[in-house]
Amino acid sequence: MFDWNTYGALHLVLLHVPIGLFVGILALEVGLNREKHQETYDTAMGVLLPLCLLTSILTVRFGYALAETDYNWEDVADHRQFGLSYVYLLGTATLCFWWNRWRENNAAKGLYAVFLSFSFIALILTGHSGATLTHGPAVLDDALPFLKDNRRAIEEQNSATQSDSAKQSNTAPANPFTTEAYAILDAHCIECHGLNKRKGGYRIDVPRLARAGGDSHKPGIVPGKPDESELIIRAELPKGEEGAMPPGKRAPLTPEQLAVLRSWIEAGGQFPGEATKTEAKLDPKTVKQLDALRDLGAAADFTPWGDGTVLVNLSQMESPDWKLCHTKLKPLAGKLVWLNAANQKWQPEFYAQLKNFPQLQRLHLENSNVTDADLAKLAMLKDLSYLNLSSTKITESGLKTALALPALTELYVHGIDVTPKALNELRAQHDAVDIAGLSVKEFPKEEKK
Amino acid sequence: MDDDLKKLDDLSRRKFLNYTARALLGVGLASTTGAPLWANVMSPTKGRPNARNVIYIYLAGGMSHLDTFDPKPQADSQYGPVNVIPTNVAGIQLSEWLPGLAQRANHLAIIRSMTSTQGAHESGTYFMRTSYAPRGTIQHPGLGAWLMSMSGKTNTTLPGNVRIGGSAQLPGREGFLEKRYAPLFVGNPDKGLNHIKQHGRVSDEEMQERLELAQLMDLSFHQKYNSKQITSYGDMYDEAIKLMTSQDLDAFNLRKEPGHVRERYGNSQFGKGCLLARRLVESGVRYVEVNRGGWDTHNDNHRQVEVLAYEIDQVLSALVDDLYWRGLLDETLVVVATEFGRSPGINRNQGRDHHPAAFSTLLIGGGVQGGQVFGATDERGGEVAEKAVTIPDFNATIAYSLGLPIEQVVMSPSGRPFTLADKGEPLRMLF
Repeated sequence: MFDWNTYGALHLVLLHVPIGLFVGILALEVGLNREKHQETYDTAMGVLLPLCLLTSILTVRFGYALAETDYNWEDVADHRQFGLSYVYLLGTATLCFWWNRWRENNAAKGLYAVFLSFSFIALILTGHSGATLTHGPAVLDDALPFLKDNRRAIEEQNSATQSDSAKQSNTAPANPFTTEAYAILDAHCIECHGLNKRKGGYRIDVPRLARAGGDSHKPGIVPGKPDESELIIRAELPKGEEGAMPPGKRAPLTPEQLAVLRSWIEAGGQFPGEATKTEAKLDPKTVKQLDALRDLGAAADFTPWGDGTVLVNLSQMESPDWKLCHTKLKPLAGKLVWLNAANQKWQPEFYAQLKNFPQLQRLHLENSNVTDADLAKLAMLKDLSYLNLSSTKITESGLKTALALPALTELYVHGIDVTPKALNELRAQHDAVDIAGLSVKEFPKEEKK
Repeated sequence: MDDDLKKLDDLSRRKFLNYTARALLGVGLASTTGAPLWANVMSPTKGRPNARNVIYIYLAGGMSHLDTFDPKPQADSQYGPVNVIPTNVAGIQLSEWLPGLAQRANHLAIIRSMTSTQGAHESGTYFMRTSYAPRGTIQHPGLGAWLMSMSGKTNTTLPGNVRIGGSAQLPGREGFLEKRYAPLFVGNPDKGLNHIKQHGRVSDEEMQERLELAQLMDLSFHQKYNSKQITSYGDMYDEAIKLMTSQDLDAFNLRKEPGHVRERYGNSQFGKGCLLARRLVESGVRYVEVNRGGWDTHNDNHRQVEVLAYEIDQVLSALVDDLYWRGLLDETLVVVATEFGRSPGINRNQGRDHHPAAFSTLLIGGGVQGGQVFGATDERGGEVAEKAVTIPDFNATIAYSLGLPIEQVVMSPSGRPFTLADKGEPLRMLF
């Protein structure tokens, strides 16, 4: 079977053919002396018009394929509509042309001229909207600089309205129908349109995908507009109709349930948990502080947890100056939960000053010069759950100090000099802590050659 | 040169700002608000995304899920199903050819309900690496490039994105993103990087002169075409020079590793590749891809898979242990992926054919809870029976564990919108 979607990209090549043919048609219309060359005109047009129409239709079909595979259906709406009207107009013009040839009359001639002119306009609009899609909205401005100022003005206007609406959404009250509506969706829809089945490529359990819609390319939920939401349209279709939901023998939604869904979408269609979530604001101060650390050569970033906490990795710096690092780290003390200080020979005050970062949850000290005595200084870190002491000079007494940390759940001891027996005893005593790694004594002996 | 480096920093800083803003507004939010009904259930007491690094192991050719991670001992096959062995997690069984991983099942999250739409190697690989079906008009980036562009590398002279084995031309490179996010290709893990030593007859001074001459020649061109893509090529030169003189190059030298560690990984190219991957991750490389081919078992499936499975069993066991003991498994996500599974039916060459409808992948570490099986196939292993996971979902999960902004729309140079995992939704319940 021929799969159109595979060849969508042909649209980009093929579209030049009808344009070329159309230019030919216009040239003949304008340039050919009809009285002298009536026969030539008829023959040429008889070939050019149907050929142009045929390639146009092909181009449109490939365009549909391209839009389905590579583009957002809504984004190409203008282009699609212009393209379709162009094809319809050209088709009608072609019909009028043959009508005139079959039985010469002025009505046909006039209509032909009108439709051809309109299809020319539609072609220009299609071409322009297509070019905007492919080459970006600046496609004309670059060629015609005087348009630029115009566009800037429009952009400013847009951004102004956007910030207005943003302000509004911040103060929007929670949607009173959310819980009830979600319960209905959960009971009647999500079994098939959820993680397990995704019938029709549609999922309702994820807000983003519930709004986007499924394989029909129609938006599932349009906040504020129940009549445009495919979810409502399908649910309201009479039983047995093509596409009616829920399908088959399942009972359709009751009018009350539909009313709830409608009011829910009218009020914004927020999902549970969405309305309450405050937009986490990017704290520009924190970003600046992280920047300062990056300038020192450290890696600094927000944690993947999305709660505004930060992580700093000093392990790849070349002989870092702790004093300098400390002054830059200090302002982050309330947010720093993850510090990688591995592979370094730290000045003694480093370990003492770690108490300034009481939020620390994860601390890497592998391959560092940490000693048993230094570990005693970590006692202030009440939230520390991860501690990495691999390949250090820590001994059994140091491990005991570390294990006294109240929140500790993971302790890494790979390659430290402790007897396996002592390690196993510690593991037995602290079953809430995952003590991972082999002691040096457990390493297989190297064969001497 | 110094000035150039500063410029580079500027750029990454802007990226960083951009990224962090999106990260805060996008992905992370679900975790802060407890467990909303729709957020396919994530309890705060369980794990959370922790990954900083990814070791992406790709078994090219299509791993037979039926003979490895999704065995069907009850199925009647004329050549006999593979025997199963219990693992150290009650209720999970693996193929008898994976004894090592069976003992480490408490670290594994096995996804048995993967499903793809691409049944050929090229398009399947492309889909797996990029979350998009191949198109003639555009090249989509791989996750390594997305990670580099959205979050940046750890501060080291090493590249942030490395590919070991396979081919430099495989899909999942920088795609339409900037050239400098492309993976550095290491063909042979034993040899490390090629062309990294300065030529013996060229002194440092001469080298410097040559570089300056090259810069001088480029100058007018750079001034005339001052675009991101062009400067990106310049950045690559700078980074290469930095790398040549760097101490970090030792990370590529497997001989620095003690004998008993090398022994655990074994002598195969794949084993060495994984050992190199661990060394690189330790040195701050954030995305390492290791390729192992040969899984296209159209002939004599059982005998071939036995050999292949024992190999990955040894190497993955060594890698998991090694990362776990060093405390790296928590923040390193090990991904084991392939383009599709293999058919339940045996063909006349005693082989199994391509089967995209159902297959298995693995996630280990990075905050993913070990000791779980996600989804299931039917009794023959031919179709997904529950919790289908599409390839975009799978890639979105990797991105989620790294804290990348899954919903952020990025425009290709031709002005088309893309997200890093298409319409994929991360499997938050794995964490």
